[in-house]
Amino acid sequence: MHVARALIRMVGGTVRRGSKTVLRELDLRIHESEVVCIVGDNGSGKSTLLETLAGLHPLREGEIMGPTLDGNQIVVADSEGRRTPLQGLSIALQSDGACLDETVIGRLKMASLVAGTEINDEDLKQIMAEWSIHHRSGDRLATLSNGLRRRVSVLSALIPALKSENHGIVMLDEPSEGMDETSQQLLRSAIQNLRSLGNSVVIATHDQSLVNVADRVIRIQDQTISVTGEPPESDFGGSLFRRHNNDAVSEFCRWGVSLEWKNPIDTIHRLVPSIIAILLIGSVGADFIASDGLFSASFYLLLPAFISAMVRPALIDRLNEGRSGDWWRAHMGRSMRPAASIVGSSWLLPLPLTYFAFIIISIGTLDADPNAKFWIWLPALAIIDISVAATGIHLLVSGLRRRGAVAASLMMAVMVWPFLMLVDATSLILQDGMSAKLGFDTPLGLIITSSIISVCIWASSVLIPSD
Amino acid sequence: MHDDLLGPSMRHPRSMAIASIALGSIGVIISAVLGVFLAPDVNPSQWRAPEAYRIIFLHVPFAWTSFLAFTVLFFGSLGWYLRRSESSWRLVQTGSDLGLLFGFGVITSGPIWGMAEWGVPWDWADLRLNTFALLTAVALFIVMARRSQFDDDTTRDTIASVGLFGFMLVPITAVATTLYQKRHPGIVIVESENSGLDPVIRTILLSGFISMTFLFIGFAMLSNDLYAKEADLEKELKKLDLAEEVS
Repeated sequence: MHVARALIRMVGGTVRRGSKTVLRELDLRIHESEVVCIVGDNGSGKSTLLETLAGLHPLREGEIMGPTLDGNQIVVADSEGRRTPLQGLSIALQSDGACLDETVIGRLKMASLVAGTEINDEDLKQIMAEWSIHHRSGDRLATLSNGLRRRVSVLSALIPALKSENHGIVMLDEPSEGMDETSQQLLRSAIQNLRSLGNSVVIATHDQSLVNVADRVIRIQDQTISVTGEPPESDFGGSLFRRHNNDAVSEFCRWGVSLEWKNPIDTIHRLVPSIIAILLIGSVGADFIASDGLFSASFYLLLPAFISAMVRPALIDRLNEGRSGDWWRAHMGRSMRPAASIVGSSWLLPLPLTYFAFIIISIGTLDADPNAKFWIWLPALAIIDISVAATGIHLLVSGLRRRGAVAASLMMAVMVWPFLMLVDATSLILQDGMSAKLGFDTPLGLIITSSIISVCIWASSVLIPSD
Repeated sequence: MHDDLLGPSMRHPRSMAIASIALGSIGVIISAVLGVFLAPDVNPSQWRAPEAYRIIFLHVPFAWTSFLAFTVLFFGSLGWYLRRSESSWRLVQTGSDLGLLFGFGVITSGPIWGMAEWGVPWDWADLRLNTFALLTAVALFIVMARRSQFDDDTTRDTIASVGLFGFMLVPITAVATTLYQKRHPGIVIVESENSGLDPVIRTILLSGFISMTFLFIGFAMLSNDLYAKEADLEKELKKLDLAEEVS
């Protein structure tokens, strides 16, 4: 037996929230096979410290080191921003970190996969039965009471660690809040179990019964900490550390698509203004539009799809609900924004909307090439690039806390040029049909240029990290 | 103590700022009046609306000072992003306020002239007009976000990111408008190679430039001073909050 190795080290960590310095020049180590409780008054900075260790708050000064799979340590965050997600982390935020459209079983499975543990259905059913939530396994979180939701949230952090052969880091923010006595007993037992498996458990709590199971207690008062207790002895030094699922990005994509499938609010948000635009185009009159030339017809042809691409994606609201975006950010780090900008975009609508508009406009005496209808899918698909770039801009400002009070649309004017180039490309297609030639006077050249401009805007919006 | 370290002329930055604003304002008004009544007519054969050109005595100095403001905003955003210093944040505050003010001057005076001269208020193939419009929109976003959001590091980080994003849009806009112009040539203004600027026009324009620069410097000093004092006041209020909580 030897003194357990430190898995997380904070060195000189200073964190500000608003104009207030919450934590000042903190040095802290969290060891393997150790339960650490963070205590303090309301507003003292318990959650801030826990979330900072998880990489959710920027450091004003200092750095946080985390473990690598081979037992070394790397910087996971410092005052210059977030570097990499903390390996082996599973976390339950105080506000659950889940979107309420998720189902209980879906949430638990997905959280385990993201944290690097694949769990079979039998084990999952057994755990749900122990925690008395098996009867609700197929229900959406929105239908659960606060206490049940809390159980699901805490379980989504516990299961990956309990069911993994390798150890990791579990962070729980006020886990016993809203739980009945039986659940609290199960929680304490699970925490002791996690310690015996070599996991580090960090808990921010007011609950004295949880403090009693801790090896060390960190008390925060007036921006400084005092620590009681000694690091444990451990023989886990050579054992494997649990790694994150490398496919966290694909899990995130699956999560986004499944939520939209359950509640297609994004599709409706985008569809309604686009359909209204098409109906208005119909009201103006197909003959009137056709008489104004092919450029004008192309403009009206792509306009509904362009409108659908500009709409603020519902994914942003989903990521805000219960701070599920922060939960994903803790696991994915900086790759989250690029992934979200792709998942949250309008992928399905540009094509049908463009053809719908084409049908409406074709009712008039549109003097278009007869083969044009076989090729207008190409500019319609390029609208998807515009949508991805627009989503990137929406996400750029989604880090602001009062999201309803910001106007991302102010930066959308830059999308005009890729759109106008697609209008040009479409008018060439309507005029002479499609051509495989490349050049700025060809439909293909214009579509490619439009896509390149969209990609540049997207890259600018997602590659500047907000921390 | 801090004031003692400054020279006598720097002890009253607000007085200097107000003097600069007063001087600049008077100069801008005089330049505008001279532009309307004293500046000679231009060759009617080269312009569709020869009288409308007089708006340049406001439009061009506005463009110059908004360029200065956007530069301040860029360096402020970069400074906050890299060092998170309070002085950089004050540059973001000042740059966005002045960028909005002077940028608004550019994008309102431009279309007035465009409507008269080109027959359309906006030309998507004109690089300068579009770049100024985008940066003014970014400045407006930042001003609105600063006013509506909690003032914490996260907000400032996001706003600084938006500031930098706005400047990354400039080369993208330049390429996009240039390419777009290839297919839709902008409205070309015929200028005689040997005429140059009339000396009176040049003098009034120069006077407008200098006056607007004074106005900009005055506003920048005043804004910087006010935001510094606002930050000091906030600190004192926080102390009072704590004292109230203890008692």
